[in-house]
Amino acid sequence: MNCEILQLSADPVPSLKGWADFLGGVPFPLLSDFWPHGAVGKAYGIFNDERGMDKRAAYVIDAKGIVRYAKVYPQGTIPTSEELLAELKKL
Amino acid sequence: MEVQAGTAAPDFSLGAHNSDQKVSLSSFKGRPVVVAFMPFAFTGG
Repeated sequence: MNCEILQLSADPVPSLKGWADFLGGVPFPLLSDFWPHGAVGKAYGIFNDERGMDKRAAYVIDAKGIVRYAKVYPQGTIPTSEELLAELKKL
Repeated sequence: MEVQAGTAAPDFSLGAHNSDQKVSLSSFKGRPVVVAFMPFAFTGG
């Protein structure tokens, strides 16, 4: 499917590199929301101030930059790719 | 306030694990983008 995937977390870049290596390579960019710490997570309203990290959340953004799907996941839940794929197919 | 469907996605420009260049959301205009946030690396995906 013709879309880009961007994964953000409040880790510094070296941690993301180490994690990607640990996983055997990640084909999409892992982006560092480390400094100013969690600034992008705060802009999206999903930064966890208490724990100092981004919550787990997923957004489908259309070609014009408009959010078409937004979901914040409870702690400990892993999003499934099926629901995101279903949203992408609607675009 | 949480970003809701139907609103403009806040732009960002961040360092990436696989590039020396910063990656910005706005550079992908014209294509759909999935933006996913996660807690820290090494913590279960």
